[in-house]
Amino acid sequence: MKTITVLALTALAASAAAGCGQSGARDEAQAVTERFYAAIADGRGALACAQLSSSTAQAVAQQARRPCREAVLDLSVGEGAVERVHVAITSAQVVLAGGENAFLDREQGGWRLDAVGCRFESSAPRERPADCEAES
Amino acid sequence: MRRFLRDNGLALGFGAIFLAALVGQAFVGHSAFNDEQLAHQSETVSLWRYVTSSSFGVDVLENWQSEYLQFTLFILGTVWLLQRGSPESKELDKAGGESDRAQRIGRHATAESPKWARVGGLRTFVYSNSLLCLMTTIWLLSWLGQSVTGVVAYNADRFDHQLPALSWFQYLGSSDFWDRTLQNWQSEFLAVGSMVVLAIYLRQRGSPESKPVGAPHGSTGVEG
Repeated sequence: MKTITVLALTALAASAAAGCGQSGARDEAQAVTERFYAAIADGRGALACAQLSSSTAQAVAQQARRPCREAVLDLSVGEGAVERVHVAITSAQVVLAGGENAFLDREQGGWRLDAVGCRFESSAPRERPADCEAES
Repeated sequence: MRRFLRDNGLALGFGAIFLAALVGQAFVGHSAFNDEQLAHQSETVSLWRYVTSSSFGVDVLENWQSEYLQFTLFILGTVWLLQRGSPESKELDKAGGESDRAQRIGRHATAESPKWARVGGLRTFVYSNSLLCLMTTIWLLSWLGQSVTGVVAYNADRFDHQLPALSWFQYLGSSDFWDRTLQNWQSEFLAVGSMVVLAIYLRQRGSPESKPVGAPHGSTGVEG
């Protein structure tokens, strides 16, 4: 019985630790997303690019054949009002107002946006990847 | 101490190899997880973060639930289902819950019988099914745990491909949940079924899971 109690308490402590970690992760992912959209609205391209993952920032620059800090301001994205954040281990989906989505990944420096300006087709939203304005 | 080890060798031995295998799984799973993270240019995680993650949880629990289901069904199935010649089966005329006398309950209990086998009524009924009840409970809890951790691990993969999050209810109907579940179930059912049949014809000297080496193939319910 003692063994079962110890195992149950360990499992509970692990769940609590994981739960607290996820709450912090949700806040961080939301903050990065809001910072990106605020930077776009303010015309601060370098700050917006700093919120993107390195591969996504590179893709934005390559696609426009201009530096990321300039090209990112041409992306067609919404206002960035966050409605929901789903965190799953080191990945996250942020649902924004107007049906827009952003996807994040946790890199060595913290949460970064892997895809922004993403929209799902209303006919088959669950199994078809979103169309994104920028992705890695 | 030596006597304690001898008297509990089976439980201690399997407890030890269980822990060794679980620790081994944690280390190699952590390494594989971080390899995958690096391939996606994502952050690597500590061993503690990994063993408290849903990725490790679902890998552990999907196996636990199938093992407990296997024994739950084996305990329940062997009450009624018989197999001629198998030491895993009861004798062919004993299908069912058997008489109180055969089960030594109520007034047929002996002085050494557990108290709840002697007292009769609800307590004896509960005790008569306690092994099945606990195994079923552990199976259902670990299967629930598999679904809760599985949806997180599956969503992590979906987010990497710009797919939307699934809710827990949606995940219960997903191919990932049933793939993880059924791939474990089929292997457990195969192992139990093959042991029941192979033990009709093959022997392991000294093992209670086998008939005595010289027992005829047709003798049922005999343990060596």
